[in-house]
Amino acid sequence: MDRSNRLEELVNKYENTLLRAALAILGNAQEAEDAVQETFLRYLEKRPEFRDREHEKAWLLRVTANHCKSVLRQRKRHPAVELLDIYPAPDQGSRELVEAILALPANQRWAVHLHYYEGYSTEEIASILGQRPGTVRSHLSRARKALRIYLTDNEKEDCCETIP
Amino acid sequence: MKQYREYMDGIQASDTFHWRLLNLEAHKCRPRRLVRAVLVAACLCTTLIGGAFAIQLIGGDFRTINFYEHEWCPPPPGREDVIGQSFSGYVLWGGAITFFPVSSFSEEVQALTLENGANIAYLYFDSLDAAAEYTGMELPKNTALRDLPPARCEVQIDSSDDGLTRLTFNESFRALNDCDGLDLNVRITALSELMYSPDFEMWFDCGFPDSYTYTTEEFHQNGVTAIISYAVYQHEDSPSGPYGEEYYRANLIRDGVVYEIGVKCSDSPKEGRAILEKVLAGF
Repeated sequence: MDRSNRLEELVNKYENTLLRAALAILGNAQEAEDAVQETFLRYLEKRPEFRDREHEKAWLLRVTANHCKSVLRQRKRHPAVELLDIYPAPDQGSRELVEAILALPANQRWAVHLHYYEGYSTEEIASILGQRPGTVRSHLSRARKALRIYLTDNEKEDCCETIP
Repeated sequence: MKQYREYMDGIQASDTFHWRLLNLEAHKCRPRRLVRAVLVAACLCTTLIGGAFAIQLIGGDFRTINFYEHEWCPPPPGREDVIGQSFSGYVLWGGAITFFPVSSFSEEVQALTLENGANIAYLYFDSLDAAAEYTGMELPKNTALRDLPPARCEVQIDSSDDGLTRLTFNESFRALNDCDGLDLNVRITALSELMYSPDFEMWFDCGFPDSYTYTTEEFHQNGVTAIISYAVYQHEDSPSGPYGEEYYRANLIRDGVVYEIGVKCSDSPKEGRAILEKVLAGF
């Protein structure tokens, strides 16, 4: 497969995945698009060989996460309002939940998004974010406390295993 | 967390952003927001002062659509060098246009166009749905338009000696909810494969009557990307329009076809913008 086709394949497969993750962390559409763009540019520069699809996705998410961290270090603006302005929630309940998640510290937001939306286990999240599994469990535990009223009983009891 | 998953599922990369990613390698640089800001500024400068330049970015099925003002004609094919000197209007860029196979249209339309040869025909239907069914087109769904009472729809059928080249659907609605002075027009353009070429560009007449001044802005929401124009009639009351009449229009590409949605609400001008955004939200 030539270079252009390979990039196109990755963009078609992962642009939404990476965009949603970046939006969850940054809360700003333009910064999130820049983060995703940087990720694909990094791919073009490095041309990594992937073992399998999971490795491919994890690599892309890791690069996106690293870029988002850089952006967050440089600004202090609260993200919630901007994201919901561009992508309004369908109802008040959803809006409150998204606002609550966006109000979490960045590390907890990452853990929540990768676990509850992408379905990664603690170990997988640790690998993506370059953290220890115990640290990730701690982030998720604190996040679950803050989001308690929005979680189902199963989710409250969740031991951070992969969501089927 | 189900609500969070459903919320995130609803977030999709816009056509413009998708195009930007696919062309990263071709640009060999980082086309950051600065480029986007320059393009937006170029569009605004073009509309406000005229005679500015048009930036063209074409890649794959992503095309530039140029909207030119009445007094200006698009360059003949192969003479795009003239654009830098005289283009005035605005540009919708980076949308994915589909060149539909001729065989995908209905047998009735195919037979009609082969019979007509290089010609233009007009057909009239009771609604856009009826027109789409006759032509065999599956048009994008729009919940806001679907909720309106059906309105008469004109279909312009362009053909060459080889068959159907373009379909243009025109549907006009009158009155909507509390806005009795409403004039809502939807124009949808679909191209056939006979129009395809690697360098194909679309040119549309801006269509604002004389004595309207207008500005444009980019609109992005829920995966919909559009250029919204806001036009105001500047002369004394005349058959062209009353002084100060306001008109809103959105140009966008959706599922491979080109949309133009125009709204004028003479009883309540600002309501026109709200109605336009409601239609855009209906995709």
